[in-house]
Amino acid sequence: MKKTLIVPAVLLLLTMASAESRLFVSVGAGFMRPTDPGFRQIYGNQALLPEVAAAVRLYKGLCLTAGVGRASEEGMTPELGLMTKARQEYVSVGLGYMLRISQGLCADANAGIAGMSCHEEALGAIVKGHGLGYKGELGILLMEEDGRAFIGLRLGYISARVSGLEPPIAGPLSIKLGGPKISLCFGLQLFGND
Amino acid sequence: MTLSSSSGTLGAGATATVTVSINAGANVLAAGTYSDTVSFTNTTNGNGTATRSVSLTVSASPVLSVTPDNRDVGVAAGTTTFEVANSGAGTMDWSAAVIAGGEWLFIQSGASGTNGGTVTVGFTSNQTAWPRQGIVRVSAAGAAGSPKYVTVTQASGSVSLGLIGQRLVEKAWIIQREYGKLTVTVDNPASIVVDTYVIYRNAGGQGYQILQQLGGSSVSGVQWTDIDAFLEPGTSYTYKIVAVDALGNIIGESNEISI
Repeated sequence: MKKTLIVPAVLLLLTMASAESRLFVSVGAGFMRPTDPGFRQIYGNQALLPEVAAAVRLYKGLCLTAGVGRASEEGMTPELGLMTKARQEYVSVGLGYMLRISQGLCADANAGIAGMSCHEEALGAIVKGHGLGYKGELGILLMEEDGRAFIGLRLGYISARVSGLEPPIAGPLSIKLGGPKISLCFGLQLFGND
Repeated sequence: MTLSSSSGTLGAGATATVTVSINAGANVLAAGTYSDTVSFTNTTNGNGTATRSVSLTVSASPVLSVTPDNRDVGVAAGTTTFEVANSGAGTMDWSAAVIAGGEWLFIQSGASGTNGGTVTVGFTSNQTAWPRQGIVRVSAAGAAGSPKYVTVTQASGSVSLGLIGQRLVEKAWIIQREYGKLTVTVDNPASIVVDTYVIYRNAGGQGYQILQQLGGSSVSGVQWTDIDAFLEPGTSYTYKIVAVDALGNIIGESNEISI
């Protein structure tokens, strides 16, 4: 799932960037509140979520966007107190719009599809799953005077459902991934002149 | 009585000495006075034939009596008594001492006395799975029947184990597994030293195998739990637990429980 989404997205972004489009790349870190109550019960109400995002401006403020992120947490089982590990990952592609509000302030919004995967290692077993969902974000960016670097705050929501988890190792047959998230990002503009 | 000689020949003016002594037969004589006569007969012509009286007084002596010969006692620590008496006459001084089992048996009171008395013997709890016996010696110098040996026999200890099993489910986020929770109740009134608890498991009727071995000192209290993680769904598991001493002897075994 990851490779099938990442490789074409990166290739597409680089192709368009090299065609003198403007490429924005950012890294960020934030927190996600997982939607799944089962996840929250074991791993807590919030998960650290590092992210990498990229956007290629296609026309005026319209951008092609892509992003990846991973939330990894460790927890304990309730009765036996055994260590558990789990992670949720996403790869997303979509469309966004960047609106320059002033010389140093820019707002952006983006939405797209997200391929999400989950992984849990607990009770002597490993379970993996993946599903397709969506992701949406709203952000506000503070830009340098020349527009080459920016920092931003983004609020978003990401969601996917994983089904077909096989009993009996997997308790629930389907689970929800993702949840509302907030992140701070730092980014650069590449291949652009203005 | 025994005479040193019962016949002989004397020349004119000669003398001879006949010694009268008591023999072993006197040992069984009861207290009292015994008399007899020794006759000296001149077998040549009868002149000078004479008799002499002899008597033996047997005085009453002390006789040591200790009852009973043995005391059976329980596994727990405690005391027991033996009665000392002089069933003879006169005065009898006596003393008592433990000569076997001194590591657990001791004289608590009445270690010595005159004529009658009570010897109180103390003992610790039997922390082994085997009965044991100690010996007390009662001595009275000059008394018949001394020394007297009496014993204390202590019952073996035992460990009673009760086992309860539950089949439970532990849940992480996605993963869930079944596990067994075993609750062990230990009744060990004599505080027998348990070297190892061995938990056996029979999975699906395949026969018992050792699931786990726990040091006896690693668990405490009259009730403790152990976890069997994890169980295969649809498979029945039967458990039992055995207590073993330092020599590998089984000193307690629980019931079997299936979950």
